[in-house]
Amino acid sequence: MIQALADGILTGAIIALGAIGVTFTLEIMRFANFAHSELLTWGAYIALIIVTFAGPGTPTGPLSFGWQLLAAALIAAVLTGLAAWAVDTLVFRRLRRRGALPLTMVFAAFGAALVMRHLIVLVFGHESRYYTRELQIAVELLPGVRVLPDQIFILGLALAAMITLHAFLAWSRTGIAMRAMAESPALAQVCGIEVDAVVRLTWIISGALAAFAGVFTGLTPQLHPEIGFNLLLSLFAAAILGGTGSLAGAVTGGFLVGLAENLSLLVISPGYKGAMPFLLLLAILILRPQGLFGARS
Amino acid sequence: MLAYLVFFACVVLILGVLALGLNLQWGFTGLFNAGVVGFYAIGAYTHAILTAAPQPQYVGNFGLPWLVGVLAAMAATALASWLIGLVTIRLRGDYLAIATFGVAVSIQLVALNWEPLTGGAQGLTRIGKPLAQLFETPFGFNLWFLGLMIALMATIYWALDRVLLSPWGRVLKAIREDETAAVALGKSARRFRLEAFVLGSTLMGLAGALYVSFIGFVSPFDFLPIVTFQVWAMLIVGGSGNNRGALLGALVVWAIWAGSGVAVSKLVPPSHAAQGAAIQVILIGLLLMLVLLFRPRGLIGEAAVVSRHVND
Amino acid sequence: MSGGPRLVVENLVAGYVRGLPVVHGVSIEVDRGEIVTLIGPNGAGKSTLLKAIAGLIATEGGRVWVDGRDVTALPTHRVVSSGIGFVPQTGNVFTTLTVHENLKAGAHVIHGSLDERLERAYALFAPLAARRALRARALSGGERQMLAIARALMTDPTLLMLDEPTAGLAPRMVEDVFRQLRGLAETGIAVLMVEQNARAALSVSDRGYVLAEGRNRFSGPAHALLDEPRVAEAFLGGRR
Repeated sequence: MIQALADGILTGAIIALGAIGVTFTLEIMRFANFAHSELLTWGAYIALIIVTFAGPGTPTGPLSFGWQLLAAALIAAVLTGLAAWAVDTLVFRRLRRRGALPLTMVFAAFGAALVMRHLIVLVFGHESRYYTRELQIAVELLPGVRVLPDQIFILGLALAAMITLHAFLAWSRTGIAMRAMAESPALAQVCGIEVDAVVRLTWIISGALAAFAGVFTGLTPQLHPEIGFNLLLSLFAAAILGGTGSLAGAVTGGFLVGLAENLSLLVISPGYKGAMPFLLLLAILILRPQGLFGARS
Repeated sequence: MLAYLVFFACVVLILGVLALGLNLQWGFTGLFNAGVVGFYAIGAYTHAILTAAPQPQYVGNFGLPWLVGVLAAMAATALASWLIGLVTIRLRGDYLAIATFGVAVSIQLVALNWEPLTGGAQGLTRIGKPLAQLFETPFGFNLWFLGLMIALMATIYWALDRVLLSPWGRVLKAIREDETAAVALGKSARRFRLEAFVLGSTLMGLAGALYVSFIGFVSPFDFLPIVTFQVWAMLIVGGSGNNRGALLGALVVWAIWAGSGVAVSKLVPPSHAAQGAAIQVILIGLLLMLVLLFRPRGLIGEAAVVSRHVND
Repeated sequence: MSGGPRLVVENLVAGYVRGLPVVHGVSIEVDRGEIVTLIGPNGAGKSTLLKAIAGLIATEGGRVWVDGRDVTALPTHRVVSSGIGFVPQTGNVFTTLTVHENLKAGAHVIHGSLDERLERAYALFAPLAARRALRARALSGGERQMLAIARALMTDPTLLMLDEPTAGLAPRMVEDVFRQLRGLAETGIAVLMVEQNARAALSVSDRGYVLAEGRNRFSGPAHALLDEPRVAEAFLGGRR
């Protein structure tokens, strides 16, 4: 049971990183981006390309990789952020400008997701891949709780990323501008805030966080073209559970979804694990559609 | 060649039934069902479980007649969609999409995991086909099935037309086109939408039963989200709100899908089959996004007369 | 280009839906240090005019100059950085942000330190200083209006536009607001406002324009409009 809690927290951190991006797009661009999960996959595979050439680095300490993998993750984050912005500029923004229906936006996102996912299949095939071949020994943190050192490190990094983002949003002028735009685009413009600039930054941040989530998923333990897609429902469940428009909400939602998924494994067979986030989502939408932190219904 | 065309025509007609079901939900009622494949699966598996030849390792497989399987499939789908609709119809546009998407994913997982009933990853075989024993060759059977499908499609099309012209259908249209009417009707508007949802889903279940009775076996890998995407593509390409558009879309999209599949398999060596399949999906995904960007009304669609309360 | 009028609007045509203009060729001017009030019946296009000047809705004809620069086709954020501060009628503060954050948001286009400007804002609007860490949604109506105006002033605009700044305010607050505006005009800021509270607004204004059905009807010194019988009976009769 405690093992499930530990696993839940670890999975939850990754889901939280992805859910933040989903929340941002839901709030600032008011659209449910079904392609967000593919940004995780892209981030993971971009890092893989870099690691294939530069190597993951000799394992540092108890970890299975060296600083090179982290550098690869950072580069992947930047590139994925730019890729996210590019997809918006090519597809979504054009549709937004024309006042497209929500159906059109969601369908376009689904189409974009298909293309993005299958581009990965085209280049890399379906097989599982690994950042490193190092074997890791699980460490027993508490009686009955075994975790890999990699997982703890990832949790730490994820928390660091979230704290940094929170500080940015709370204190920096650009962060305030983003929050202003999320509440009222018209008033934000009246303050001299440029919509396109905020949108661009939103995509870059969302893409970067997704890339980290993807790399972390790929580390524990492997990459394949479906890693993003497998998390799609979890990401949305987390974003909606948290109440859109709230960083704290997305993070809390992420951890709760991670915990729920892992705890549920104690009672249902693993084959049905994929249905858990959906059931959670359904429960939220019925019981409290504005989520835990959301103000609007 | 003729044999392939007959096969192709049968599949197009089956998908056409799916498209008509979705069109009733989206084009006429404004419901954003992103879980089409789930209802398709319920119909398919219900028919399969009831009509497949008995096997010791499976709980189901009752070997019942084809017609029983089809009717049961429709009933099961109707019931399931009614329950799902009760819970989800009130949700706002994209939330309804996410919820129905999740429903379909869950249904597929059940099909994949509940081995004693559904055959798990292996699926079920020797499923009841209509009058299969009368035909010696697959071609003969397919030709008969094509005839059956044409008759069925004509009936369904005609029946839908009548339903939409009926008082019920007129209320539905009013709800779609005038939001204040919907609000004034209050709870009743939700009832109408639920009924349309169930009716559309029943058609999807019928399509599922027809599909597995045509192929003769069922597998959970036939019910992945890509199918939902294909059916939506049919509506978008053909122009939604319009039954003719739905059928035309079914033909065009399936022709492109099957055609590109054939082209890819001819151009790409078998060792790279996975890559070839990926190219096919990429091309179609791009094609559809281009349609959305440059010709959003589809081939023969009406102007975007869609319910404004889609966003509720 | 000092000396010329701050704002010149020439034959502006604008509306919310393309092809259905609400403003049919309106022309107005505001000089530095002046307070100009727009009055007229509901639906006359007064708010629409302000929004069109601010770039929030598309103009279909005519021109707008601010300090001699043509800002007609500019997007809102560029119009604002050309020296216009705009206080919309509703949704004029960020309710989820604190008072302090609202002010900082208002100064988005200013590079460098905001400390001086913030202190000036708090000096001008004392009640805001005491509540600077509160979220805007916790403020009273009068305090919100103050915040909205303070927010618009953060960029030291040369022209301040206000859409019904006294709507829903108690009479004493109305006086306060008008007194603030008088003070601002005396520092050289051009003030353009739309007001339903026509009589009170004209009493503190230098000039006024009367708009009806999207067109200019009357204009002139404020006291002349107050005395003009046609204006008085048609537009100054009742409050909202």
